[in-house]
Amino acid sequence: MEHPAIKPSRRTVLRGLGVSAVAAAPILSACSSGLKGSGTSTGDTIKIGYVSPRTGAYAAFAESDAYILQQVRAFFAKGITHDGKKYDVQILDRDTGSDPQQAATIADELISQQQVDLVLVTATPDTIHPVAAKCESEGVPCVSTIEPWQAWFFGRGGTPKKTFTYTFHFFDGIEHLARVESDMWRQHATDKKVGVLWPNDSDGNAFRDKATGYRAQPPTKGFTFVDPGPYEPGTKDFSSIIAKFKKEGVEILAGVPSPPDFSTFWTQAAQQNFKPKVATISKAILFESSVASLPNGLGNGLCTASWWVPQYPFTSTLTGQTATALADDYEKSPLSKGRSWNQGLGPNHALFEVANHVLRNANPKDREAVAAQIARTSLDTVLGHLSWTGGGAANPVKNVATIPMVGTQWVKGSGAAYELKVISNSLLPEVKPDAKAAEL
Amino acid sequence: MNWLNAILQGVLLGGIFAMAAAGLSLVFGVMRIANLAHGDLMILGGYVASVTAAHYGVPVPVTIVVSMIAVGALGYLVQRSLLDRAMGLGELAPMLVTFGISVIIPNVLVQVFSSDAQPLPIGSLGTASIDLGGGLAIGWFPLITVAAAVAVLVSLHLFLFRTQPGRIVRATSDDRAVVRLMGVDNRRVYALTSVIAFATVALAGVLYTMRQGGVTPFEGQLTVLFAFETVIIGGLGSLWGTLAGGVVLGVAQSVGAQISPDLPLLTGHVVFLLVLVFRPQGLFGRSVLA
Repeated sequence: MEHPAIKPSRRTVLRGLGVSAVAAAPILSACSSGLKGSGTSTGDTIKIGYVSPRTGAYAAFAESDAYILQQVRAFFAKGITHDGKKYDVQILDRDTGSDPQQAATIADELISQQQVDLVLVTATPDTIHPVAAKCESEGVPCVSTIEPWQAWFFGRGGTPKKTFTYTFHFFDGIEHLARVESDMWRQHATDKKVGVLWPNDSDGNAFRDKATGYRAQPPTKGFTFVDPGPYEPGTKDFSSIIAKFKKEGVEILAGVPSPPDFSTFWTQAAQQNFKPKVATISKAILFESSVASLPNGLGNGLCTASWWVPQYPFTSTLTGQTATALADDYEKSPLSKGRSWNQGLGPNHALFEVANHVLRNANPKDREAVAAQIARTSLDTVLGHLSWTGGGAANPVKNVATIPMVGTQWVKGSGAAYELKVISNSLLPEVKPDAKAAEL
Repeated sequence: MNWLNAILQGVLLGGIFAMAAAGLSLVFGVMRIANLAHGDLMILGGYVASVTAAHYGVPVPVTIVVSMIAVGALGYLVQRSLLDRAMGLGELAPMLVTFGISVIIPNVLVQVFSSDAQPLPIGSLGTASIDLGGGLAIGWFPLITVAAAVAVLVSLHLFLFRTQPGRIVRATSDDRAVVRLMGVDNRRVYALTSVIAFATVALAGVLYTMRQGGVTPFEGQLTVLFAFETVIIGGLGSLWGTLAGGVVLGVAQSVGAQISPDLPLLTGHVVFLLVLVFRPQGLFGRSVLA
């Protein structure tokens, strides 16, 4: 040990205990404690790591990455000044290939070799959890988004008493989904029977949980839930579930199926004449392409709760663009390759807004100060107001800032294109509804 | 009535499985290659159809033929350039080659087409159904898939048992050394087999894509598992077995789902394991494996 005075990190201890790692331990612990030291790194360049699934199954969430990175690199080109000292900013973007192992390897590389000062990570537990775990244990500040906050916080072992020091998150949660989706149910006269598709995966089981799940949320009181039980993702035949929904007289459909499962279900439902009056589906119909590929125009009229739409009246602190301008500019940019905006654009852009804010307001080379600064942050972004302080619904636990949602409906426009219309704004009254809710 | 419905839907589901397994069964039976890229080749077939329909305006039914020809040609290239060589290197090499292909296909697709679903619309046929009364309904498209699976398996059977090239294929499967002594180039037989197998895989992929309304790059992985189970349940190298295997697996899954929604995959796997334990040669397999 070259730095005997320094308290060993958890990793050092674990490595030291491992018999096979005995030889490697002194070297590794030397560099990791050298790196951590008093929680500072040296140099005049701030390094920001950006980890996202640009390829693989989750690639749709990171589709606008090339555009966002071009924007923020241009913005950070003039550097950041803190306390009279000017720093250059370098953004290191990495692709996980939608693979959790790869995400962990990338986090290691960014932290140990590149010695980044801040890590930004986005989209799904498989991307975020391995990176956040590494950041928390190595003491590197990390901000993440696009994962329901309950899964991020409780799923990583957080409790109201045991919070995290270096990792922070902003996103919606089950309470927002329940509120916005049940609002959309109330827009129609139904028998209040809700058939649910909650698969046997982490999302489905979180929704099903009696104490903290979907049915425990106050806005869903007064509705009767018909839960056929957890089906296996990848099921190719939903006829027994459809038969159950028909028998129980279900008029409302809700759930978190994966896109291929929902396609199988919804096609079979049409074949077997199951026609609910309203369907609010999370996850499966986030992107226009998934809706457009449902057979025979079956995507028309499906509802989903959205966490960011161009109709938002908010402005970016980096570029001054409104949400509408951001979406328009993305669609016009050659980097969008002619594709329309998608919901990943807002939160992934906002990650860099948070980064900019905290690195200017804390010594960017002092990791503890940066982490403490995130915990104090309250910022208006293109995604709306983010606040990691003050408690209440916007800050339910220490490390989480929640964002509201709006109720949206896919409506077939001209040709094959679908448009996402805002039909419910109870959580965000400043967003004007575009249309009246239409029955399926 | 629910149980009747479950069995009926299971048979229809079995049609898709049998369709997907036909090409796998052929390659497995003739060349003894476990083609791990099978599911991804199906997806590739779906992409060919979707892209020709969307970008070149080819009518959707014609895309089936386009896809079969394109993927069949790819089968020829893969066999002659990769698998022939790999087969000379030992038992494991061809399987590793197919594993490589199964990694390359989805990642190339995602680079070229992004992870967006590529639609292949078939209009109202996708959701049309025949009402049998009493709450029973049969989708037209699943029915067409079953018919296509039967047609493919019958034609393969006729080809293998009633034609001269078919006899040569079977002979090569039995003993390629002897066939070579008779003056037949076994590599040409393998190439022919691959072309036929890849073309049926493409057909399965296009039908799968039509059934789902569209296709995404990473869907092949689960499909290949069902296809393998179908082949094993039915019996290696038996085409009727493949049909029976598909139906058994389909019914097992839908009856499992009738008991509880979390059971279908499990019951499918359990039936598969039971077959392996009590009848390892499969329902219709030859009792002694080569």
